Amino acid sequence: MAQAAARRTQSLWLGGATAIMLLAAVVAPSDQVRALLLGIGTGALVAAIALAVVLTFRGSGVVNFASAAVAMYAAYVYDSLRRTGELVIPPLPNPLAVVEGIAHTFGAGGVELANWPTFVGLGQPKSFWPALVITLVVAAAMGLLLHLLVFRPLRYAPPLAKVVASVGVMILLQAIITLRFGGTPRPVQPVLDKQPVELPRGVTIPRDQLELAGIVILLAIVLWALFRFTRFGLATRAAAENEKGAVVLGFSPDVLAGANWVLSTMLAALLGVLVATVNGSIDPITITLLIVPALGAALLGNFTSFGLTTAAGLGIAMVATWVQFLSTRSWFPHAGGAPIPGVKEAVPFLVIVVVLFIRGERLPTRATLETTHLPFAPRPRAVPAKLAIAVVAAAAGLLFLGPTWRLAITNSLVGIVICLSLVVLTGFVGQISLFQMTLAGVAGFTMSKLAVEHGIAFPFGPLLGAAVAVAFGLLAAIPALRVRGVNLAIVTLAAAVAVENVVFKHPTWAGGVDGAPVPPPRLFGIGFGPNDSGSLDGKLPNPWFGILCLAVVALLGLLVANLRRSATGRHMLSVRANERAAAAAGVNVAGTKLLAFAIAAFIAGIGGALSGYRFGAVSPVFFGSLASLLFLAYAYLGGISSVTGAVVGGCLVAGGVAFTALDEFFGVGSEYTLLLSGLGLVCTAVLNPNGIAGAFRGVRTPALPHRRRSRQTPAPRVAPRAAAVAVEA
Amino acid sequence: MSATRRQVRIGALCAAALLVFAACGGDDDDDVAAAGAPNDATDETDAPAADATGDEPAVEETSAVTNEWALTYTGGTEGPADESLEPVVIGYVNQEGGVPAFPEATIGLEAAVSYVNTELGGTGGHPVEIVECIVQAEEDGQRCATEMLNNDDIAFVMTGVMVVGNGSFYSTLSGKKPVIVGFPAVPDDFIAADAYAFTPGAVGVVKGMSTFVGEYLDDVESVAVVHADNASGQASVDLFLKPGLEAQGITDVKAVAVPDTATAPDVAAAIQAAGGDTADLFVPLLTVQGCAATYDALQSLGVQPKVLTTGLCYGTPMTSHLADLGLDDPVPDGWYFGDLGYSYFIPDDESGMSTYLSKIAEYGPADAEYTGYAGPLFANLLTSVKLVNQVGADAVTSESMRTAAAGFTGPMMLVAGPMRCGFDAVFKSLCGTQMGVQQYADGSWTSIANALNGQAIETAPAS
Repeated sequence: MAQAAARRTQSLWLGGATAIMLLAAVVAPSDQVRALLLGIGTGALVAAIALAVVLTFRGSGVVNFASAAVAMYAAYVYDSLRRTGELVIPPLPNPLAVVEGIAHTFGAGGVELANWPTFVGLGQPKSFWPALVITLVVAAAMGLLLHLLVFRPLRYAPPLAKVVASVGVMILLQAIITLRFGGTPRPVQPVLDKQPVELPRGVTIPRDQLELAGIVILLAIVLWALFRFTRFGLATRAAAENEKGAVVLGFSPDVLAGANWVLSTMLAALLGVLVATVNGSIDPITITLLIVPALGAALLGNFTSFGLTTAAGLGIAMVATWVQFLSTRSWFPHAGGAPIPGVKEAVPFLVIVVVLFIRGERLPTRATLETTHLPFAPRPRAVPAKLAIAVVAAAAGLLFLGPTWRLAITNSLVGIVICLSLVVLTGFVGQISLFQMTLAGVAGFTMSKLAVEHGIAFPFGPLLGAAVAVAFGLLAAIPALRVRGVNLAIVTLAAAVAVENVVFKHPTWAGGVDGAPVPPPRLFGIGFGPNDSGSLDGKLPNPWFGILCLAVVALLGLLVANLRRSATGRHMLSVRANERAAAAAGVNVAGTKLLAFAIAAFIAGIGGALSGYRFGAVSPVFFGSLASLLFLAYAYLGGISSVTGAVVGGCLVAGGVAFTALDEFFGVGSEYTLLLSGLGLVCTAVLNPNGIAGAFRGVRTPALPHRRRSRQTPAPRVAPRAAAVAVEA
Repeated sequence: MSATRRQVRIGALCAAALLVFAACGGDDDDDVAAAGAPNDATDETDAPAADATGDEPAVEETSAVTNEWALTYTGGTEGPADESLEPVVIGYVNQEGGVPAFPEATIGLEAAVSYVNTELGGTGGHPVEIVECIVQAEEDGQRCATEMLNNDDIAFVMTGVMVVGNGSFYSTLSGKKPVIVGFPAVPDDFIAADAYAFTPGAVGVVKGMSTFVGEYLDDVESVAVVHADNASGQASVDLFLKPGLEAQGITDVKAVAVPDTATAPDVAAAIQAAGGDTADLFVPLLTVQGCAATYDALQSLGVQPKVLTTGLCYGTPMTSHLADLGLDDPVPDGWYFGDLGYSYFIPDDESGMSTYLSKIAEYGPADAEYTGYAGPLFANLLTSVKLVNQVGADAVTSESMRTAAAGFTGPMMLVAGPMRCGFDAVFKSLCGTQMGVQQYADGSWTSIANALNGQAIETAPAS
């Protein structure tokens, strides 16, 4: 009954959207119709990635943030085969590297031993079909490996671990391509005809975009038929509805998930290749970033409907293009003499929000087996002693170490603050927010405006900036009252993109050509800025800025530690574990979530303020949506549910202590930051969900069940409906 | 699992990570050629070639002729530098390795260093040595500035091209060590104090383009602009192009922003939104990637507007793209290109273009992208050597180099017009005062308004 109703609803949505489009095509002015249709190319790209996302989710229950990165990776494989006939090899462990590293440590930096090859020559440059076939084989292998090595072990893991692992894969693939091919865009030979095609009403649009859209729609139909009429598809649907039932019927959910992973990566690869040829170039960023609107489209398609997802992907991009067209009209709101920025980029977020309000509680959560425990959130012990030791050590480092280490410690201290905000929100309450760096940016930009235009400086500027961040954080909390888990991650990611483009690029916030400067902090006439003098060796950065950061970290660390030990902290953990149980026990779930969002936003805001002081300015680049993904990675790597984990996470940030040590002691440059972060993130998610801090704490977290029963299909332990509640928690 | 086993596992994980990054280290394919190591492409046939017919430029001058120009320009002495003398150390910061990246700037710089040390006698006999710092993220700007500042051997710093970390980089160095800006790309580059950009920069080029439209293009009443959605793109349009066009009586200007990584579908939609299919002139102000996307978008829309763009669009990426499409022309036919006032495709002796084209082929990689940022960096290094020679290699200090840079009035290698640092109170670093426009049409390049035909366009107010 429920399925039939859902199908009817989906059909209604699909039919309604199609009817509106057709009506618009008939009655709207032809230039507006053309504006809409010119979004079909980008829409096809979005829909293509979204289809891969849905396919993965239906097969394995994983919302794969790396789908677009897989497409990008495949496009590079294809292009390399076409241009040189070489197959790119991902980085492989090289035992000789340890020898080199040790030699470097002992001053023999010139030791150069053999490396693995980076490419394998396959003869002459390949023509289209051989290159495509080889690329699809590589993609199939990648899908199988991702299933076996990463996501199968995470089968019983909470949504956070799966999100983190897929973000790790995304970062890893991006890093590999950047290291192998560089960041400069590479031209890709076209495959489809680029000539224009004439449509009725004098509308002309590019033929290749139309053909790509046709291919995507065709693939959506094929997928629908596959899941509707074939034994494989029906089995996958059965497993998605009820894994226990699927097992009883003789299907292996593992095998089905693996097959779907292979299918989804091949689909992503095929479309990635076609997308690259339509785009005319590839780079590590462009296709990868399509994941944001693609996730939105998949969400609108309920992560189940291929038709609705395709329509949503096409629709989001077409509406965005139409909005862009409207922005050139004189009546469109302007700021600083130009149309207000970012409205086009905000379309996915706005669409998602509208749909959330319409569909509300009916958003999907796949029926899943019982989840293992979330990362352990230990009760802090001996806090004063640990804090004193840490503060003394950091202060000594700031005052007595050289400039390189002073800067690294300072960067880490700022990173710790952002990680602390994630500890509260994600570690304690289980809310996966990809909005924290945006909140930091809100505080930073506010502080800049207050200082430059109103003369409100340290310490009131940062506090007021953080207060504004709290207001934004509470706004972000509103959807959190309706959606959970990975859906919340998608909503907050879309919100981050919207704020980044609408707010941070707005002239009122971003400033003019001077940008958004942040004057150095001063107290009683003494400058604490990183470029003020004050070091013992007379060199920059000023250690007293680091001391200021240290004091802030110590205060916030105490706050978070005490929060964990308080009744409020226990309420937060109970909400994280099971919202219904918490509510039954008298915990105000909504209030607890709102409080967590507010506290986390305040902490992130303070982090943004410190970032502003650190750089002497704030810029949208630093507070972009991808930065939030990276900080989630750092926090999870360190250990997302404890103050100690935040400290470790802060050490792992770009320019922080860990990578400075790698550079200083092993000669590993900053270009490997992304690679190591991605790899570490995947390994942490799979092997050690408590993060580095948890590992050294020696806690006993229930191991992932598959490792105890790795050779047999596990029997489900709870009914799907009850399990869905557990997932939501 | 016991704590010990877990720690062993973590240790193994770390070791695996170490192995992996080391494996990555084996990729030398993208590395630029090491300074001081001229590659195999040293014979004349490999040189970027020049004629005005759109084929590969051909440099006819001999090494002696090009050397003579360079020796005169830098004030150097013929022959190699004396390796026994203390090197003159120059700091260098560039954005590389991530996205975006500008490795061609370093190619130009390193080729110039090799050339100076091999044939121009270094600086007063002292070899030139570069201390490089790479920027990839916002934090790196401050880190690199700190490294440069704390290295007592470095008196001044050169930059390549950066779009992240610029603010903290300049604010850390400001007033302490002067910066010679390679190619100013974002507003922080333009407004920085104690920084010197011997070029009109994107600001001057765009400003000059608006002048060009009014003075050279007939019947332009409407202009469609598609620009990069970054601070520099926005500022170029709002502060220079639009006001400049309005000053010429052209008020129908529609501008649409696209991401830095815009693809053909993005640009096609933007062109239509800006009215590029019907406007009298279409002005794409985009990244290198955006240039090829613009060409594709125009083709796919079936429109052929009059196009005025920047020199980024005649770079190797565009040439490669058109070659992939099976076209004979290296750049789109009929397009106008605003640039620094001389031409890579019509090389002359006076600006040092012939010298540059000859030496980048000799000292740079075989397939060097010589039309992009390599040229400005090659020119900046030779100019820095010139300033050091003026000051005296033994008297190089931050203060003496600041004075020399601020007082440099040109002529500047590869750049048209006199230098007048600080002529703009807002864009303090800008020194270049002229730009030029050339056109590729019917298989050949033509100087429309540049230094080669004596009609370079002024971008600075009269002093």
